[in-house]
Amino acid sequence: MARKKQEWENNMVETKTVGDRVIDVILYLIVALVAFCSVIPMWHVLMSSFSDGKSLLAHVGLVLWPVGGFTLEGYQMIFQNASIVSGYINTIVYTVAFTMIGFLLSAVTGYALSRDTKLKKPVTMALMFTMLFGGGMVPTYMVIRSLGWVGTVWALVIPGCTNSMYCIMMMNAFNSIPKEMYEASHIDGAGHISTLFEITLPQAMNMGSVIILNLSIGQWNSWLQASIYVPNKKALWPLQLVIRQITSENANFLNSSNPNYSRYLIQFAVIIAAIAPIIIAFPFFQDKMEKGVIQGGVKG
Amino acid sequence: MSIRTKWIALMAAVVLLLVGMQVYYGNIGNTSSQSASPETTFDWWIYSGTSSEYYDNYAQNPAIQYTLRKGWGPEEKTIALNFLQPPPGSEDNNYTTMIASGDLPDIIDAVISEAPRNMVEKGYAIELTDLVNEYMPNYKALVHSSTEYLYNCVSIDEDGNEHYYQLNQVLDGYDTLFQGYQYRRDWIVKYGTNPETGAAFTGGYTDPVDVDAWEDDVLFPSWYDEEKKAKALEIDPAWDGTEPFFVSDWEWMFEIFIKAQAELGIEGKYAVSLYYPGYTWSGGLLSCFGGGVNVFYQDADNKVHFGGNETPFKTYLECMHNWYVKGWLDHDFNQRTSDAFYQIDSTSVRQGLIGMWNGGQSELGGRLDMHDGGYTEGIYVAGASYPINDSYGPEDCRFVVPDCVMGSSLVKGGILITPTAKDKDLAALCSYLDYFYSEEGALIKTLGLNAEQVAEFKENTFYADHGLADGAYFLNDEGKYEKVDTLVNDSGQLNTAVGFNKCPGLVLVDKVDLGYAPSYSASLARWTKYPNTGFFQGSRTTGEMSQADAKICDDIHSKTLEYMGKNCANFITGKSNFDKDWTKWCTVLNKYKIDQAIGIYQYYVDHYPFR
Amino acid sequence: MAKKNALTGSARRSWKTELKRDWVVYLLFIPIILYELVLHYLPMFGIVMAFEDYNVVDGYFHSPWVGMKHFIDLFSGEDFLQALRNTVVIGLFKCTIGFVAPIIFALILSLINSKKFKRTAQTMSYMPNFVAAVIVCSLFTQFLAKDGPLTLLLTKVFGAENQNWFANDKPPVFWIIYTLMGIWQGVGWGSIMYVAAISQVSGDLHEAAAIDGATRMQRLFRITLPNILPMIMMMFVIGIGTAFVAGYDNILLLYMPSTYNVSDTVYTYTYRQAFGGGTSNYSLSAASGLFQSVVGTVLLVSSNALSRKVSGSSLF
Repeated sequence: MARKKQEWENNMVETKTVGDRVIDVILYLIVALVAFCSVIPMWHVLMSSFSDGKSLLAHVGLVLWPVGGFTLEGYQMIFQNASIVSGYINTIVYTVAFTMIGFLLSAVTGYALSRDTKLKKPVTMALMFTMLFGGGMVPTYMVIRSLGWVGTVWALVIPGCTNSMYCIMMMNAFNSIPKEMYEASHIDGAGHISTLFEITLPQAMNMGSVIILNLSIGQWNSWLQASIYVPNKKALWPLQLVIRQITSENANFLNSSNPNYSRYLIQFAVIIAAIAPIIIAFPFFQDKMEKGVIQGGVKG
Repeated sequence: MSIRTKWIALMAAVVLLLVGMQVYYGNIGNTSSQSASPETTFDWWIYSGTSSEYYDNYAQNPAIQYTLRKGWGPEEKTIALNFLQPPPGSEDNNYTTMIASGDLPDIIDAVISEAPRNMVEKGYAIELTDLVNEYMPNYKALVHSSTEYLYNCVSIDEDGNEHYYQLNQVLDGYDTLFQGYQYRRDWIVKYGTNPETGAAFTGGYTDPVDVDAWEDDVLFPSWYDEEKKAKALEIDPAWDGTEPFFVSDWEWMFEIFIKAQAELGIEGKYAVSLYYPGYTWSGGLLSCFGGGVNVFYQDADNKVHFGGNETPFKTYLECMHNWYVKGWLDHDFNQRTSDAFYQIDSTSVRQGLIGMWNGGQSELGGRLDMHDGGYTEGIYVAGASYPINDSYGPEDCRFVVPDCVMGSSLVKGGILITPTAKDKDLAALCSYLDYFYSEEGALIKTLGLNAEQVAEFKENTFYADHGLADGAYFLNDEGKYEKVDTLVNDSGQLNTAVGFNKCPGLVLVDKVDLGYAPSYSASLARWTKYPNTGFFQGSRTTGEMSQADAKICDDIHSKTLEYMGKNCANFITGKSNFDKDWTKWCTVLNKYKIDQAIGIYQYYVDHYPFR
Repeated sequence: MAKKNALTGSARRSWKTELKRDWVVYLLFIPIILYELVLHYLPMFGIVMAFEDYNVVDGYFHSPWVGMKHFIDLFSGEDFLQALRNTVVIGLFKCTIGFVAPIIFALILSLINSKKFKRTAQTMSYMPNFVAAVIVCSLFTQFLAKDGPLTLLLTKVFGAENQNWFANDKPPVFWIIYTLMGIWQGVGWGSIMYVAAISQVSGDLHEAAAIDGATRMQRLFRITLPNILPMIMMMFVIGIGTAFVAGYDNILLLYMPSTYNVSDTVYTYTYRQAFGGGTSNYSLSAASGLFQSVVGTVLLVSSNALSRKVSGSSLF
């Protein structure tokens, strides 16, 4: 459907008035400005990571070009760490598992909430309640410990794999599908399960991809869960925790009488190392969001 | 493929992935290669301070492996240690979940725990008195060798019985600090003149390679003032006029810095920086005006005071106000709230624009020189001791030695042994730990292995791999243990990786020559010139406080700090005056039940002195 | 052939018939109910901490009970009211300017024809979301410091005084800077779901409207906007509910004692009281959290009611 709209819009191009063109220019300028402002800090981080540590420390303001000459020392230091490879692998595995579980749970819940049942209202309210109230870190730890998940990967991929917001967003997506669709499916003799997965979820995949995107980025960037539940099993650490360890260990490098200034670059290099895979994978997500069809969702 | 097949395939993939994860991750991380029996295998939770740069687990530390080769205790049993290291930055969470869930390891670092006595009373640790008496002769002898050790390591009850609740790190001398006041000595030479003769100073680097080698003929004005010179020599007989001694010497320097900046065309900068609330929490410069810190401190007679409303504090503020008005003090000091105490406006400092600041070891000497033709060209930074007040306030605020300053303590954190270890072979463990209170063990703990030990310990290649085939240290001609050059010049954490520094034991400071150049050592020494006797926060005195007492005091403490933090800078900038507003300031502070806190602190100062 | 069930909507029935007809849907509720019960509701016993003098060693069940003491401490604090006011004001800024910014951005994007340009711009606009808050804050403090690049720009263009903008304690300054900072960091990321919702709007509707002679702008307001309105309302309700609770930790990196009058919020105020001294007062922080949650709930329920009245759609 989105593709159709795109084609149709392309056909409209010829009939633009002068006013339209002026508006167009303004819109392009606004978007370009937002994009420009957004990319500056990342550019700053990228260029800082290529700078010379000692010069960078004395530099004030934006880094538009490597300060004091181009170096790769920050990257050399982080990739010397033996845990970084297992960190990448773990993060990828956790992200895939977490996203799959979370997406399925959100989709199933969203579907159930969108149907007219007696549980619709109480469950929605119960979900909203957890958005605002929580027991805190230690009680959650104690519950997860009694589940036997401490020190295992389950404490990393199951808690937090969905949240009230995602369930409600999915509910909204199912709600916005025309009623006729459900009726037709019902008349064809399809049950809830096949209606959910074969008829309606493909329609709701736009929202589904947003949730998949949010879940995967969330898990990619997470370190807190791992620091609480698998602190002593380094083989299970995700990338972000390994990175945090590297940066924390180097945070006070200036306290030494003979500091290695390249250590200052580490904090910049790790940001780039951590988001590079996301940026590479990003266009793929964008495709899916724009198409919003089942083929994408299943493969993802 | 139909949609249905795709969904079934996806579900199958999810199940497969989860099963795969269970199998794969279920097996890794559980591989332990313990050769010792469970009775002598100990889990040891360490707070932080080890680097992952050289090995994954602290148990791979060569000093630990060297000492664990032989058996320990009366039965000479093999011990195995298994270290639990929380990820850096998550130590407190990790500690909290550990205590709250009751999954205690055998040994825990006592850095953030409650007072050891409370931990024992509440069943989270065991009393070690019998074990120390029986298996730890070195430790027992050591703690009885000085009152400061005894006060900080042992609890003495009302009947005079000694109780050991923890095993501490014990230092044989005061450590150097990593931060302190420092100034651009090269500017004094270049832009200053002799206060008596008006002649230009001469001086400069004496060695093109060594950034610490510097000589000059600078003499400070108080050297030529007979009265002040006499006072100074009374306080420090070794003073020779080549170092700033009094507040007036500092002010003389400030004028030179301002002149230097004007001549160099540096605009909008200042001579000296100040931490943003207008004071430092632990006293420091404030203590130079008599009294003590702005919060709670003890005087020479062990009487507890609240400093925030006392004359010395007011005098201090008057001095700062004067510096501010004269344009010496950083005019934006109270806007630098995101700066760390020893990194105030550090980009300006690193660009060579500032005359004097509170900074770290890495800024001393010529280390800041960027060699790019900028303002750092030819820089030489010297450490300064706290100045003695000779210019401000009433008589009793003048010529007093600061005693509430950042200082080092002879006893640092320790470990607790938990009830989990009750049924294990504690005799073996204690004998092992006691070894590190002997000089031989202390050397291994503090410095690592020497050439002989490395040669003997061939099966471990850590030392050879890191260029330390000749050991980590040697005995030099002056009878001190000197670190090898590889370690002196190391810019990483190799120094902490070669020894067993997380172990309780004797830490060698006085017997060690760190291998620094003399001028550098002199700068470091100036930061610890005046010892701390008044500032007791964070020492054993407050460490012994009960949770309830600590809470009351902390509450009052943070309320006063909050008020002072908000209003103190106004006195310095002149927004508040020293008559009416000062009275109001005192009235407000008195409202915060400071008498109650003084009472509580007094009890602990009397019962648990730290010195 | 098939009976009417929840698939097609139905009138009110008894539990028994419901379960019989729609047991599959009820089955679908089981995972989330289990998930919420175990991982969210069970740990809520931790809330008792707000009513105790909690310490780690005594734990949740043995720490001394003090009732409302921490709440009284909190509310009677000298600067509490000021912190509360600032929280409300910043929350309002977040729910208004901060809320519409991503919607506007998504709408503008929907009007851009060049697919390549749109995609590149979109990807670029997500970037700030990946930069850690510490770095974002330090960049902003540098930029808005005296002689900082942004400060100089403001001085040249608007004739504003060259100053450290974060040290400015005149009322709206800090609030505006903070809101703009939030927008800058979240506008691209926040627009993703609106972009997705807009792309779901049927092209047929646009086509029909275009044939009727509606301009682009008219179509935007008559078709796109009404179609994503339920989504907007939903986000609005959630946004108001959480605006009071979350996202104030960055202020710790940006404020200073001299600007407490505008920058101190309930979160930062509590943070100083609870963790500013030597020992951590977890109970006070829990009490403050509970207070914020209660206020959030009240806001959520009322905004939900408001949404029902205004737009006819509501969350629950």
